[in-house]
Amino acid sequence: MNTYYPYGRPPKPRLYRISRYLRWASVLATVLVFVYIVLAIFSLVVYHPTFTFYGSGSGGGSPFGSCANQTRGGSGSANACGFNVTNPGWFPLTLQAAFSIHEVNGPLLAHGSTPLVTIAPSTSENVALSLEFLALPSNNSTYVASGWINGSYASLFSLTITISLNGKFSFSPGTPVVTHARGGLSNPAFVKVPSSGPPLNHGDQCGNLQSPMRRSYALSERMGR
Amino acid sequence: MTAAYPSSPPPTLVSSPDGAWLPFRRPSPPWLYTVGVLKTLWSLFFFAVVPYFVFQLLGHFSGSSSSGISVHSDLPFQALIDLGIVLSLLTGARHIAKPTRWFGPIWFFRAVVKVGYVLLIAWNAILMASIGFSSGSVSIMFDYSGTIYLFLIGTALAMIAALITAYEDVKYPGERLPFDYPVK
Repeated sequence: MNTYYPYGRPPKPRLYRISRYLRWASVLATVLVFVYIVLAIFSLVVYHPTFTFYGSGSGGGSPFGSCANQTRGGSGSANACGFNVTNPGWFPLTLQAAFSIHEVNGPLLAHGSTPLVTIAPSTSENVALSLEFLALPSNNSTYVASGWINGSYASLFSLTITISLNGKFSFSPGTPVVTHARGGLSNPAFVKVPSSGPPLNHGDQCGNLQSPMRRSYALSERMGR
Repeated sequence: MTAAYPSSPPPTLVSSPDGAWLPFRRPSPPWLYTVGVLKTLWSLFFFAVVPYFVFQLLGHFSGSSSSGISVHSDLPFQALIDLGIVLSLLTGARHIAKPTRWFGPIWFFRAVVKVGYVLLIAWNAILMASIGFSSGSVSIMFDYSGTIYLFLIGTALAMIAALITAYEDVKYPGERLPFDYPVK
């Protein structure tokens, strides 16, 4: 039997065509995935994100430095310090960070964190750092500072960095400066600790340390007497 | 007329769905086996040899090295290499079986093994590195599972294509042969 084929060749069977298209789609999908990964790596390497710390206080350059000497309730608001993240790349960047400082065999001294933030491509965003200081360190005590940062890029890679540092507090407290002298047992006072000490001295919410103080800085108790 | 494949047998006719008899030239067994073995070797390199060398490379950094850097991967390399060998053999078998009705089922089985291979990597796609120094340590965890999962898209599509081909070979035996092995 002779069959006439308008294009000089027989048409491909339907199932054969579907299977072949799916196979091409499979190869195309794999190639596109490769291209996407290569572009993401290229973007991350060439246009890598940059971080700069910000804060309205003096001593910029580090989150603690820029948060130093701020006054609680004034410029030391929720967004007073943190870091500015610039993402010049082609894909979104998601970030979150947290840290804590505690004495070895002692209390948790401070902790802080940032919210989970997604920075769109070619934009920059301020990521606020919330700090909370819970206790003052004892002199000559050993502390462990732990930092944790998690970032994911283009929903492909996720990098988690955990830093743990050991150190020793060694400082002389000196004479506390009363900045809000409303002493008394029921009226907590605010004290300012010299900023030349260890990072913890830089205050609550990017500002001064808040009483009721623990350990040797129970100023309010002394003022009430 | 130039033969499509070296020392290929004479064309065969197969009936198409519209009743026409279409010619095709089945490739010669030596040619089929040669290409099949080459595809197996290429797959073996990609799916078994590369993981083996990555495993060897990581072995140099695992534990505490003199540089203080320790790198660790959760990947079950032995299982990955075994699965890679199976995958490579199936790749060669698929090519050799292409003129037969076993092509679809072998292709489908290969896709299933490939899904297992990809999932095995994705579920363990974490690379950990730690650096110790006198006053502390830094540990880095690199999770690349999101990247690996993307490769399942292509494999899933291939799996559907294999199922359709297997069905086609059962329903219309030899229908695809004039198009897979046309007479030139």
